[in-house]
Amino acid sequence: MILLLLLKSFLIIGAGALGGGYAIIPMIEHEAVAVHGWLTDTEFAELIAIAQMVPGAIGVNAAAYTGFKVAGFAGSAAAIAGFTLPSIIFCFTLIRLLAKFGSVSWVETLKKSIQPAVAGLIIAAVLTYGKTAVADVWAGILAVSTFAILFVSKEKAHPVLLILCGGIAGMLIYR
Amino acid sequence: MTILQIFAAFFRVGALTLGGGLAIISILRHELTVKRAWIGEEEFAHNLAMATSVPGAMVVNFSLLCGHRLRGARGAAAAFLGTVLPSLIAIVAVAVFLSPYFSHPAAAAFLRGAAAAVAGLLTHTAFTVCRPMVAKAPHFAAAAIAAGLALVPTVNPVFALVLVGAVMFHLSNRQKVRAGGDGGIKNGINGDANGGINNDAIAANKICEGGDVRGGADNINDEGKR
Repeated sequence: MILLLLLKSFLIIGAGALGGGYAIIPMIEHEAVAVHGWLTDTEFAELIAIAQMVPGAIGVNAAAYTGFKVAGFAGSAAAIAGFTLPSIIFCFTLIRLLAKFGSVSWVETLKKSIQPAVAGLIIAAVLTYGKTAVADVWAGILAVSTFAILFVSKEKAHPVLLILCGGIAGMLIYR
Repeated sequence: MTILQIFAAFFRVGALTLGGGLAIISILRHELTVKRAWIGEEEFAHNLAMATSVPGAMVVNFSLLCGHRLRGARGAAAAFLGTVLPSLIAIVAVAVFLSPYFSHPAAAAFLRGAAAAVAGLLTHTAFTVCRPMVAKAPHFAAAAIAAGLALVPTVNPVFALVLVGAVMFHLSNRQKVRAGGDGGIKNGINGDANGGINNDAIAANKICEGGDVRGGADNINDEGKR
């Protein structure tokens, strides 16, 4: 029963995660802390930290962590399934619709019309991330260097390696 | 590429990437578009736009769409599992074994540095992916308005997406009519496909009626109601 509840809660959260996922964190707090009492406030703060520290998408991580706290491994799987089910439904619907109507001219126009808005959302997401990640001069230097290396090397440098280098530099700077 | 190769590519990226969904998408771009040429730049931008405008976590949507593009439904399943499984494994590992290490100052210092590098990476992705989307001045202005709206904490980014998307849709239809083409509007009127987006368009346009944005959205509003 608890697995079904997890599935349902994260289904709601997943369906509401539109436009880059700013909405996810407060929604998880609402469902997991306020409504169901699955996590205490401290555990929720821990969740935010761990979801960002561990590789993977933050929303999926947060679902997995909440599920694990509530019902172990099965809970994790149930929360992830709920969280990603809306994606599966909506994406396959979209794929179907585009296969059918993709060449209709107003759909073509619509696809082109949302591109600037999408660009705007991506830029906003990057700025939001940057505001917290680049909190001091050293972080600024690391961010600019990463950008410069990618730009100058025409992306020959592997980004995972650059993130790793940033981490090692961080250990030297912030120890 | 085989199904297994698709899974392996997405799994590796998911397992190695700190910094969340957009960072994963940046690295997927490196792996799929720059290194392997599985997906072209334009296709990548198109999939990213679709992934952003559909409900659900952006990176999950993106994996499903890219995987489907590569190898149909099975490709989508492989890409999906490759994206989601690393999270499950990592979180369970952390919850069971590793949580004491996370409070170590060295780990915090590492993550601070890594986050700064991720900020540089994301800027680079935004720069390369968004540049073609905003090449023309009106598109640039529209992107700036959408970004500005999305940055206001009380504004839901969906609102920015729908509002700016609807205005651009209206403007490009009007342009077509002026240019003598009649396809845009005619076809636009019978539209209820793309359900979610259209329903949202009704909501957004109601707000437009409240005296915003050059009073121009009425046309789309009618389309939405039919």
